[in-house]
Amino acid sequence: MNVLDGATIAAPHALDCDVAIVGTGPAGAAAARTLALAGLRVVLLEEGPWVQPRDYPVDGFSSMALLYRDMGANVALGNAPMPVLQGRAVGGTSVVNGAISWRLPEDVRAGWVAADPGLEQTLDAGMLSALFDEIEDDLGIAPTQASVAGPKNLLMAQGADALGLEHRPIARNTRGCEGLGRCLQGCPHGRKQSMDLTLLPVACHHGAQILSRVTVAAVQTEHGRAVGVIGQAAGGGRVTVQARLAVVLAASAIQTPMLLHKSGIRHGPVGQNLQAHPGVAVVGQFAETVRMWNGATQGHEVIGLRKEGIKFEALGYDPAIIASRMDGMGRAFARNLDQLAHEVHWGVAVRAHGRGRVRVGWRGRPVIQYNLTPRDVDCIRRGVRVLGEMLFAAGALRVLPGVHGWAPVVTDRRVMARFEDEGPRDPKAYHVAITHLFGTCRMGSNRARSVVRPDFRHHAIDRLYVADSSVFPTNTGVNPQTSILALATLCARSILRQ
Amino acid sequence: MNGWLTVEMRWLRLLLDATVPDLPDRAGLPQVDLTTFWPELARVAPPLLRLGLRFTTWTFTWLPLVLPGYGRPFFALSADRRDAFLAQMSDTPVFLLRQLAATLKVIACFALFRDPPSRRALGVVP
Repeated sequence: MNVLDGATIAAPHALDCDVAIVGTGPAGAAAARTLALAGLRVVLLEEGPWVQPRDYPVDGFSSMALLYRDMGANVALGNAPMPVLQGRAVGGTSVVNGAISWRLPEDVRAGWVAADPGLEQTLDAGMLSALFDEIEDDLGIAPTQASVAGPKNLLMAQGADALGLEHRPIARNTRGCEGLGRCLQGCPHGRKQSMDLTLLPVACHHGAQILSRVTVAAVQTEHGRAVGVIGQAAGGGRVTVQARLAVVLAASAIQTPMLLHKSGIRHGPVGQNLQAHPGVAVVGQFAETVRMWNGATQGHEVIGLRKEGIKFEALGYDPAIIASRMDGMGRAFARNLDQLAHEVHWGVAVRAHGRGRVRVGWRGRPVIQYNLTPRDVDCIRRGVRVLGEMLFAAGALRVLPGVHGWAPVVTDRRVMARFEDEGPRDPKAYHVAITHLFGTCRMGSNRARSVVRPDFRHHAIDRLYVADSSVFPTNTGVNPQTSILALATLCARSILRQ
Repeated sequence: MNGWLTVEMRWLRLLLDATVPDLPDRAGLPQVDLTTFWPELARVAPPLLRLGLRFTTWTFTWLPLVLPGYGRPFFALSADRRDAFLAQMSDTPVFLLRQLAATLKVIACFALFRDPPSRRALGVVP
């Protein structure tokens, strides 16, 4: 790949191109590939490093230090402070996500179009369906094979069957997955079809250049038009990229509105309308050895309650994270570590009604505010109850709901069944994390209520486009990577039409 | 870590070691060399986490002095009382203190599972 490491840029460095793209995650990669294939000269700027799969660390801390933004310790403040997990590397979050691939659900697409008929042409169902076919083909998206699923995923199927809930192996963007269980630390064998191994090499093969470890400071504008970006390289040099045709922001629903704010481009509800999929995990302890860090990282899901905004997934992460959720402190905690290999963590993700905002804080850092609604907490309570019952149905001896103010350890399924009615209503009682973020530069035909037009162009600044999940009018209730790839491709096509 | 006093680092190390102490049949965090962990943590931890960790260090070191049933700073407590204090913090109704305990636990686990012999001892391969 044609990657220039910003650590080697110590002096002012200027480039010119047709299109400058900020961010190399799924949105930036999809846009870059489409534009490069069309013959345009593309430059991508990425804040994180380019790391080869063989160099991905084994342990959770080292991988989070290397590949996650702020080692995964950024926090959304609100009625329940929540960690916000984002990747930061060439390939973006696709390097460290669970590879879960969902098409944009038709009910979500239809809802967006019903709320804003101006989106109808952009989000034509037939055209999107054809695009999803291409993406699935490109990235090898297919259901997880039972041979690599491992016990934690197969047990979820058992538990869901017992409760009569619809479930299935998760479709993932992998080729030749070996079930190492290291998706969230980066697949060391390169089996996950992350952007650094798929779309970005294609873009580079057609002339695109990537500048890694360069932090973009601002979008440059002249006479109401975007003309380039300026940034700071890790080596200390100032980087200037002049873009003849367009500047595309694909830096995520947190960093894109931040960049607009820092550039003084504040038209519309930029940074507002933040939506997400908050989630919590419930732990089950089994008599048999499960070793949840082995097997496909996230290989099974329960979708029977998706229409209610609730989705369940088997989880897999480094033992450090598993251990930190175990009960006790001191010697009791150290003794509980004996149970490490017997634990299974399953998660519930909620299509939340909560809203938030992103603004620029001290020293240019993001301040993320996000509040769960009482309805969201109800969904979480329902989710915890169902997960607990599923774990018992799958054979768990004990369930650890992880909810303050409720039983730390439950050994009777009938007790778990009462959780939905008796569980705490205070959001702070739950260990909530958010991973999918949307809506902070939403697209729409109403200038006052949206930041970009239905064709992804900024309402006020010509030649400026937003391609990432910040344009989504709402959250989706499902993992957004495939939808981001599709919409970013549409954004690139819009640039080509202009 | 950058800007921390030596005594603060000693207090933090004591708190982390007490979170995952040695057991008769298994070494805990006290046996793990954290020489390379500290600079890496200092380099990548966001400001809020660094601030939180320092606040945790001071709070958990001196809170036992004024909390009924302890009457001494954390470093002067017996192993039993340290366990009791950390367990109390982990389950307190005061959200902030609970968060501090959770932060301590996460950092202790990161440090422990970064150590290959500790991973092996807990059955984690690689």
